[in-house]
Amino acid sequence: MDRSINKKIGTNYLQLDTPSLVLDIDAFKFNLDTINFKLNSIDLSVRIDVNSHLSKDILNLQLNGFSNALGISSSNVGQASIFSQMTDDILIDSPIISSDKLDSLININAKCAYNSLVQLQAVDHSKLSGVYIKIFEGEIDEFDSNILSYIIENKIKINGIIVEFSNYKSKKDNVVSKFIESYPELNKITNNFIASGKISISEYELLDSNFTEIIISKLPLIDNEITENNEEELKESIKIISSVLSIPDNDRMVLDTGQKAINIDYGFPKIKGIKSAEVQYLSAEHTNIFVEKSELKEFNLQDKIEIIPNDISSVLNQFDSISIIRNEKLLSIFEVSARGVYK
Amino acid sequence: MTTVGQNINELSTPELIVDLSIVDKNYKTVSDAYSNSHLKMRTHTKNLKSPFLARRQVEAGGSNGGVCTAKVSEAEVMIEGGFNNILIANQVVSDDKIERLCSLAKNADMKVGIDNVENLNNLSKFAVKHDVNLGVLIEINTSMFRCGVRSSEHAVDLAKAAISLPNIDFKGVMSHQSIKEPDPSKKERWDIGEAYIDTFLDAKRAIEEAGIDVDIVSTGETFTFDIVLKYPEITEVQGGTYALMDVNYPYMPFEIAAKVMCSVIDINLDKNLITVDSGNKCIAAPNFAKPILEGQDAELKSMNLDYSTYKVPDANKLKLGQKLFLLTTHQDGLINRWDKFVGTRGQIVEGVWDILGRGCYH
Repeated sequence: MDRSINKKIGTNYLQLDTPSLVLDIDAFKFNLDTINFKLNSIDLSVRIDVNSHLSKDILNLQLNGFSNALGISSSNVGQASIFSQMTDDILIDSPIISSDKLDSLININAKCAYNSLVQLQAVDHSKLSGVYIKIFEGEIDEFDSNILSYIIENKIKINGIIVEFSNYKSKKDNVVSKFIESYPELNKITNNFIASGKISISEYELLDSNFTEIIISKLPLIDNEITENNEEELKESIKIISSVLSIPDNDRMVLDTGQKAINIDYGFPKIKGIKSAEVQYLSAEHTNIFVEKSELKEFNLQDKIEIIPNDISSVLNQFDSISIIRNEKLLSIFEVSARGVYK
Repeated sequence: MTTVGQNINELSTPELIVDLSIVDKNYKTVSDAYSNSHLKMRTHTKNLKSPFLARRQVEAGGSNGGVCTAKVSEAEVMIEGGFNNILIANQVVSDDKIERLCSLAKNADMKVGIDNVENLNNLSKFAVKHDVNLGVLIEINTSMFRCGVRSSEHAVDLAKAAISLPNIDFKGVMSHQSIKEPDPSKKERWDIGEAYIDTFLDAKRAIEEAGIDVDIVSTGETFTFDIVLKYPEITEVQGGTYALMDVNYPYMPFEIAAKVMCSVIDINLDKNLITVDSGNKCIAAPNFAKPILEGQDAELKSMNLDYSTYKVPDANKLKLGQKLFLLTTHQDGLINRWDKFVGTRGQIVEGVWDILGRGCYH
């Protein structure tokens, strides 16, 4: 577990023990407001994906910040259970198959999502108060219509159909209407369609008007992936503060933070504020950065370096806490409540 | 609920399984090689993150009784776990961390890597302030171009500085190496390992030629486990991965003890695809590396935070809910994603242990 040195409230964020995961609360709230404004204009209800941040405190801000917040989406029963005191409307965006997990799901009155006939056939759905069906936008043409027949035949209650977009560049309009055209029996099952996955703010207005809900994932937190796909509208809110550990060459610095803290499963992070910085590689405890000689001269051991991760959700799962800052000063510590909860 | 004596097939997934009989076998391999040799293992616990697992190597033999850590906070965990001979095989440069290091030096024999005279001066300043002695080892770069001095001349200068400073005990030299070749022949592996070690020892000899004693010569890792025995000057080996192993060293005489047990949650018979309930969050796959689905001749098609989809030769042979095992390409990254591990002997649960060093980045 985290054994960082606790610093007093009011400490400048550059004096925190490194590595530290730091969230600028005002930037985060600005992002929430921006997203909320856009969503209100298209009248979509919001479901918050707790798997993207794993934090009760962040969920609390989101539930209060989105005017149309319905409930949460989570990735497993254990995670859902942690957040179950904060909402009654819980979607587990995954298939739950095993009987012990189904029992837990029933205990917290959550509903899970299935995406294949073989999954639906494997569970005793008479015990369940409803399920979601999940389809992937890129695979809609291959949708197995036997799923719909099975649902109708077995009178399974469907709470909604989740359409997951796996690519920011994919078309977001007419997705549901085409699906309904192809499978008119959908009308007998549900009229609740949920947009999920990689949707940039600029695409909200283009979303198929049949969508009733949208799952908001890591968007307000901002990582490199979000920045690249939501260009101008959101503010940087979260980053990792690291220290210069070694300057062994005249064109290289080594930081005290490696891939154990900055998950690089989705690619290398970016270094802020050093024009010529190029991340060479991350080992378990170090980030190795090329910096042009003229620029490197400005740095010393212990200097603080700010790092923006490529995928913030995977990074959050590696920290126990988030340092919350306002005007560059430590305001509070948020616990990453569901870190390491995989079942 | 996981209980002692349970069969692992009854466990909920995903779960981190560590087969203790394999760990012990790996430790015995080290013990057999090092017990009667001139050098000893100093197990690197940044991989294990568990005093319980680290102690087993000491008990098995072939160890010098100490451990390596990468961070001050990991050293705290190992001291709490009963170790009193710690090498932080890394630099400690921030003032607040050096204070913490000095505090540990009141309770254990603390040694730390150095590659910079400014840092060395700072270590001395704080050691004097706290009235403790800090051992230092100069890190020699041989191949990774990470931390570490780049020349023997620099190493000599640092050693001279170290012996002149109050409350600093110059102990010796250390180095890390890695092997990039995925499946080297024995000759290739030995050639690479010897070249790195020779570079390292050149610095050690240069320091001695300057009239400075070098007591600790600490190098090596899993892929040079056997090569180091050739060198009488080497006193200890910083092995880490060997204990639990991952898929990167199939040519070494160690077996994989740490695996993620997962369940099949979807089967697509038309495409021969299966999806399991484990993704990036619970198994390390740095920079799009591909974890292996053990015994399935499977190809990873996609992986997200919580799931992995594999193409298999015949999906018809697998069942929904069937338990399978994922093997990581990066073992210490894997261990760091879990708070506990289930220790087994084969299929039977022997206990559940906390991974006390998880998240110790400071």
